[in-house]
Amino acid sequence: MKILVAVDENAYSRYAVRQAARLAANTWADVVMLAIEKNRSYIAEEELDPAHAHPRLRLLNRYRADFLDALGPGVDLYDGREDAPFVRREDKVLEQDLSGRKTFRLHLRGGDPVKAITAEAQAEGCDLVILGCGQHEGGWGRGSDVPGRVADAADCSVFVIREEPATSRVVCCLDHADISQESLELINQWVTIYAAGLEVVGVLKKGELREEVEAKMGEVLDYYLKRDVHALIRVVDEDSLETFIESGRKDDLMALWLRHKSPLQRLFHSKRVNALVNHASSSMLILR
Amino acid sequence: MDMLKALVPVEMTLASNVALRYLCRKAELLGIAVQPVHVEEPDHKPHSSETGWIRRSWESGLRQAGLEEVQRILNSEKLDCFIMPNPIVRVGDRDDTLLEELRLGGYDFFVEGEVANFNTGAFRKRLRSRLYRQMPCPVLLVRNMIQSDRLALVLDEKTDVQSLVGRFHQLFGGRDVDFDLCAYAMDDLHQDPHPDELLSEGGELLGKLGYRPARAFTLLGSPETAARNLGDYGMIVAHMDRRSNRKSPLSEVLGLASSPILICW
Repeated sequence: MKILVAVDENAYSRYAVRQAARLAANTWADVVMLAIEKNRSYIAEEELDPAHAHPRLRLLNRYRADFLDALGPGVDLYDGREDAPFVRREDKVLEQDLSGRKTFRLHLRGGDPVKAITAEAQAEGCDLVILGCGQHEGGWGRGSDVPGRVADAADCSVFVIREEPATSRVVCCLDHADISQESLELINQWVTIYAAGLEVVGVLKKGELREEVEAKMGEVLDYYLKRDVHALIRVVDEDSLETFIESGRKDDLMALWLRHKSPLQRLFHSKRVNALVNHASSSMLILR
Repeated sequence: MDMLKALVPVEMTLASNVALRYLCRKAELLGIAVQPVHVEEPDHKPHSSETGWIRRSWESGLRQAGLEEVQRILNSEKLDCFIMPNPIVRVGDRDDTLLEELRLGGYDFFVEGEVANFNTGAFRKRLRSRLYRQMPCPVLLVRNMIQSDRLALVLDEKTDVQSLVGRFHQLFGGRDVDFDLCAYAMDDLHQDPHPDELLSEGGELLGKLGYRPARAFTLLGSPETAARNLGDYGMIVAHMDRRSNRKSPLSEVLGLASSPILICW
């Protein structure tokens, strides 16, 4: 598993880093931590010390320390040394390689945050993007809708974490039968990490639960019950789905299984996925 | 102590599967014998003959298919409880057939599965159905397999407390059940009777029959909050007035609850 943790200077990024570390400790994941800066062509980079030319390198180093702290004692997956140099790659990414038994890299990219995060996830072949988000607003700069746009645009799963999560319930919405083993395992990880309850919610189409969705809900239920995860089931009408997701509370984690042809994907296409992620009260996990 | 007899529809649905599994887990605790029933509803297409041996052989084929389906479901689940060896398989309208069987079979309660909906309209429609309006016994509506064995008796201002306590005694008398007594109201202002009075009336009636709830408490707040707070109970036991068509806060709580609910009439 490869995780991309995107960070900015806000407190929610610190929470995202801590949660990413908890997942990494459980799954022995490869990790890339990414910060984004504005493109500044007027700076003669080669004439400056890297720390002065790129203030966000200090931010990355601070989060790196937080990440290693949050891994907990006895987790010896990554290199803890502090003197590794940042190297400019051919694609203009500044990189510090702190890989140990597993890959751990700090990356600094320039440009638009949404493009930088999605390009990084694609270039590194990440399975999951984790990023923090402000309460009832996207954060990542005033008036920005970065988390929602990343959730909409990324090819892989995206976890948008709202401030310090005290998650007590993971709610997974399902409207199609094409769900991957990896996504089931990912949910299992968060349920275990948070010691949370799990609810699997089937989406009714015209008041009916389609046969393949019903069968898949049964399989998902069996999958979790066999692993001693206490899972509940529920259904919601397609028309009420948006309200249902928005009614998620701060201590909920709302997970949506999306795929390109899924009605959920159509329903929440572009602006709606974006708006939902940016304005929800709960953390959101978009599963692909 | 006699076993309680429960009529349980066995169907190829997630809800039915969950209900069967839940019931089998609790069967020993509650002393339940499970009578499976399966109703094949004929389609409404015109057939070559509506009478005579062609009709009879067609119905017999449907019954056979239904029986095979029930056996397949029961075998695949490997249920570890007492299931009556002869499933009842009928052809006809589901509600009519179940009502007839409930009237003639002297069952202690009817059990069926339902997947809870965020929108409680489906639950209200179920309560208004002919089956529920005419059912001669309580119904246990199973939404999830909750592990807890603790029950909650939930009262509200419309509850016929005497009737609920009587039913509770009839079903659980002599069994080692662990239960709490809860009075629900949106708020405790202008409630008649007040939640405290309900708790005291319920506690007194239960005490006369030798029961003592582990905890008696008032639950205040919106139906959503109350349903969430009742989520850890293995069964919620409540009374509903079938003569009233009015949507009550308690019926909303029951509509939203994740736990199985035993509705006494």
